[in-house]
Amino acid sequence: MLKIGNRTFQSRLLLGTGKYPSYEVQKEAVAVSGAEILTFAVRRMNVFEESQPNFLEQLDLTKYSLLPNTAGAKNADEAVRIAKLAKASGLCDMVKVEIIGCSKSLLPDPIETLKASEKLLELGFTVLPYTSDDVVLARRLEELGVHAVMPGAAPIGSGRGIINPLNIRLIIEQSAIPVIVDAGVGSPKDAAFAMELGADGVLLNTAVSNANDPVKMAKGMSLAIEAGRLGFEAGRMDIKEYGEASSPLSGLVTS
Amino acid sequence: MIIQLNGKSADIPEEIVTLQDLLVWYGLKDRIVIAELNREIIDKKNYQSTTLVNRDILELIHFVGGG
Repeated sequence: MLKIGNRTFQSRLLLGTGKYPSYEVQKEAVAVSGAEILTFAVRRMNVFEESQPNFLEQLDLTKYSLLPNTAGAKNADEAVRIAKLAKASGLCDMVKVEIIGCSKSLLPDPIETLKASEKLLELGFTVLPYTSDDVVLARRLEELGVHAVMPGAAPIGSGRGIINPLNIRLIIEQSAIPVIVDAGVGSPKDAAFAMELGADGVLLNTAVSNANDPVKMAKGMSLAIEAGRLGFEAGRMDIKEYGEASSPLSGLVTS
Repeated sequence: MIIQLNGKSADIPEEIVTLQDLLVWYGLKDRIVIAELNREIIDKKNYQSTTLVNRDILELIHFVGGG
């Protein structure tokens, strides 16, 4: 069970809602993923054009918790403004702090992320900052009182998998709050790996929405996260240098 | 009156007086929408009592797909 702030969740998969090929595919992918936390972005309405079906407005909001992000913010003030707008919907009090510090790599700005997290905690938000995989930064965020840390596996939308597993493991080891690996996950293998390292959850979007079959991939991710978690809880065997027979060495028929 | 709506200049008919009127005008009355007027978030219960004036800067915000 995943506990964030005062909420508990059965699923350890947090799913993004961007870039799906169609509304129908998205709906089905979300359903089969089993995800209970869905991320959204906050944007201006296109009031001057005919309105398109809005995915969020079709959702059964008793089944899902919304995790709006502050994507588009370049500094702490902009992130706080976006978070306040999201909360004013009356639909959520969680926020994914996302402040991009580099337009090419889309890596987060650690200083602005820290500042925004501090302010949002003061304002009573449940704060989940998306951060780089910096171990000390994760500790500093936890000391502020954030409700989870979300280190990136790799740059957003890159699908490269966990670039620095050692850092992710060190963050997990030191953290008393949930660690959710966010961004850069490309395949079920990456998600399972994150969970085997001991992550409390995985947040992904493009790996599902840009798969050839997003519905099948949503299911694959869900199973991988469950498998990885079971593997972590079970405790894996030691890695050995040489082979070790699984069958008895005594009573050989050929001796 | 002319207001700045979501970054664009919008000529609003005279019969629109309140924020609630404007939402009805744009067909947004029953949508999930957050209103920020001159950088202040307007509580839903105050839409009816919030009067729009010339040169107001209004943002109508919603949730879209994102990661």
